Amino acid sequence: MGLSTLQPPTKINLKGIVIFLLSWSFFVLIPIAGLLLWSFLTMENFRPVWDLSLQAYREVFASGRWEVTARTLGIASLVTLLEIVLALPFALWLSKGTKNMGLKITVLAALTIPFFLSLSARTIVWRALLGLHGPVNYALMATGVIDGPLDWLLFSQFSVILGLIGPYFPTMVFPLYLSINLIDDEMLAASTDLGATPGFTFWHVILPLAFPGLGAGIIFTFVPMIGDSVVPTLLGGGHVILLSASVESLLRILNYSVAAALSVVMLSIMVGVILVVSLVSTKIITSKSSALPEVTP
Amino acid sequence: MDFYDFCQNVQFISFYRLLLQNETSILFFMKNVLEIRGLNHAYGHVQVLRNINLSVTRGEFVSVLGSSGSGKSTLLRIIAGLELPTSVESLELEGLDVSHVPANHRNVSTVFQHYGLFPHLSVGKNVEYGLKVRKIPSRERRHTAEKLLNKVKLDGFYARGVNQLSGGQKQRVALARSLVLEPSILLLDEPLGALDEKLRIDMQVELLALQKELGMTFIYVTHSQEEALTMSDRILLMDQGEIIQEDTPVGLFDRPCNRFAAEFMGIENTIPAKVESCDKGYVTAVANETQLRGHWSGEEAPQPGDAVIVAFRAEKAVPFNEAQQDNNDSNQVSGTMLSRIYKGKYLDVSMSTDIGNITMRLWDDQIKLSKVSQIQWKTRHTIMLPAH
Repeated sequence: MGLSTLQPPTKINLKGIVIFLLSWSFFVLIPIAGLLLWSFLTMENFRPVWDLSLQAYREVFASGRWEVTARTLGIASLVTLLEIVLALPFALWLSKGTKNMGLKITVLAALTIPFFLSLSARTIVWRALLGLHGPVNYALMATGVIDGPLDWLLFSQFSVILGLIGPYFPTMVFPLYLSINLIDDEMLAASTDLGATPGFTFWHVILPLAFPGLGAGIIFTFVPMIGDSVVPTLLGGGHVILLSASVESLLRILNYSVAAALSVVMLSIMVGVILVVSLVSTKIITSKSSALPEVTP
Repeated sequence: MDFYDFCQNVQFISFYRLLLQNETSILFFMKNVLEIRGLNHAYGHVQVLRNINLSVTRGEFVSVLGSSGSGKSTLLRIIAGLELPTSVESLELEGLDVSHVPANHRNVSTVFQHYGLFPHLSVGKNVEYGLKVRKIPSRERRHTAEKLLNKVKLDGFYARGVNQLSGGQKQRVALARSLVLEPSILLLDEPLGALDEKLRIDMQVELLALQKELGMTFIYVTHSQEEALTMSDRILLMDQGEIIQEDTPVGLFDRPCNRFAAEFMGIENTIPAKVESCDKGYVTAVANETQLRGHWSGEEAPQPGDAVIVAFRAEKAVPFNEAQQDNNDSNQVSGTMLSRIYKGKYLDVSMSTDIGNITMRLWDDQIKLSKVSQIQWKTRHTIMLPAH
C-alpha cells in the first residue's frame, strides 16, 4: 500500500491486482495445489487415505511408468527437433524470401485454418493413409519397392511422430516467423556486403537474432506435446503409451493419487523446460547487451 | 647538328612523345577503379536505370545526387553487387569484369543509410565481422578493429553494445566496419541522412578528411545538393534513372545543363524566351519584347528562333540603381512588388514583371523598396538553357 503510493507515474491499480490474484488462484493455483495434495495421499478401496506419504511417487517409478515418461520426453524432443529443422527454412523463406504480401497472408492463413478443425479429425486421416491396405503401402508395393505391406507404418512410434509433426508445425513457425521478420534487410545486405556467404549470415546473424523466437517456439511446441493425448491414442494404437494415456488409464482405474503424482511429474518437467529455455535465451540476449535500450551519452 | 640529325631528333622526339602518350593513357586506364558502360536496370516493367556510363578514378570522391526515385540508390546497390543489373555492356572493378559477381565476392564495401549494424554483437565484433568471414585469427582481428575504431575516434568502445550508441557513433562504427576490408571503393548510401544538422556538418568534414587520409575512392549517394557540393570532386546528377549532368561542384552549380539541373541546383528564376542571336557562347534572347543576354550552358549551340530558358539566381538580382547602371553588362526589367518575405539572414522579394515573376534575394533586410522598381542582374550571372 505504502509502496504503491510512492510510484506516481504508473500508479498500480490495487483492485486490478486483487481481481487477478483471486481469479488466478481460483482457476490455476487451487487445481494445482489440489493435484499436489492428492499426489501425497494413498488410495484404499478407491478412497483417499488422509495420510501424507510418498507412496504414489514410489508407485510411479516402480510400475514402469518412468519408462513412459522417458519415452514421452524422447518423442517430444525428437519431434521438436524435427519441427525446428522444418520450420527454420520455412520461416526464413516466408519472412525474407518473398516480398509478395498476398502470398504471405495466404500461407499464414493456410497454417492457421487447420487449427479450427479438431485434432482428432485431422489425425484420424493418417490411419487410412498408413494402414496395411492404405494407399502408401499400396503405392510402395505397386512400384515394387516392397513385397508385402509395411506393418510399422501405423500404430508405431513412427506413426505417432509423423502425426505429431503436422499439428505442432505452426506453433514453431509463428514465433520464428515473427522474430526473423524483425531482422532488418539492411543487416542481411551488410553481412553479404562484408563478404559473408548465405550460410555464414544464417549462423552469425539470423540465428542469434531469431533466438527469442526459437525459444518461444520450443516452449509452445514441446510443452503441449508432452500432454498430448489425441495423436498417441489414435496413431499409437495402444503400442505407444505416452504420459497422457498413462494418466488416463490411471484415472480409469480410479487410482487418483498415482495419476496426480504422474501429473505433478509432468508439470515439473514442463516448468523445467520453460525455465531452461527462458534462462538460456535471456542469457544469449543479455550477454550481447542488446537488450539494453538506453542510450548512454 | 646538321639538318638530317635534326629531323631524326624530331622524329625520335615525336615517337617518344607518342609512346609517352600511350603510356599515360594506359596509366590513366589503370587509374580507373570503376568503369561502367551501358548499364540498364528494370524492376518488372519499370525502367529504373537507363544507359548509365560511369568512370571513377582512384582516390576520387564522386557524389550521386538526385531526388528519391531517381535511381541513385539502385545504382549504388548494383555497384555493391547487392543487385545484378538487367543488362550491362561492361562493369569493371579494378579492370576486372564483375557484372555477374555477387556482393560477397566484390572488393567494395557499403555504409548503409540506417547503418545495418548487428545488434547482437558488440561494437568491436561488428567492426571485425568482415575479418571473421575471412577467417582471420581473433587476436589479429581485435588489433585491426581497435586500430580502425581509433581512426573513427571511438577509442575504448570495443566492448560497448551497439544499442548504447548515439546516431553519430553508430555511423562511425558502420564506417569502421566497412573500412576494415580496405575496399577499392567505399559506397555510402545517404550516410548522414539520419543525423541532425549540426552533427551532419561535422561528419561531412570528418568524412572528407578520412577520405583524403586513406586516399580511398568514395561514391556517395545523397539527395542534398549542399552535401554534394561541399564534399565531392565530381557530381553525377540523376533524374528518372538517367545521368542528367556530370560535372565538378562549381560546374554543376554555375552551369547546369538543362532546366531540371538548374531547378535542382536551386536556381530560383527561370524565364522562357526565344533565341535572337548567338555569338561566342553568348546568347541573346527575347522574352515578351525584353532583350536578355546570358551564356549558353546547354550542349549544342542553339539556332535563332529556338525556345530557351533564361536562368539566374535570386541573389544575383538587385534593385536598379542609377550609380550601378551598366546596360552592356546587365539585363534589366521593371517590376511591381508582390511579396516581401523575411528569412533571417536575407530577404526574399518577389516581383511581378513583363517576363514573369522574379525573386530577388537581398542581404540588407532594412532596405527601402518602392512598389514599382527596376531589377537588374549581370549577364555573366545569366545562363541560357535548352527549353525542353
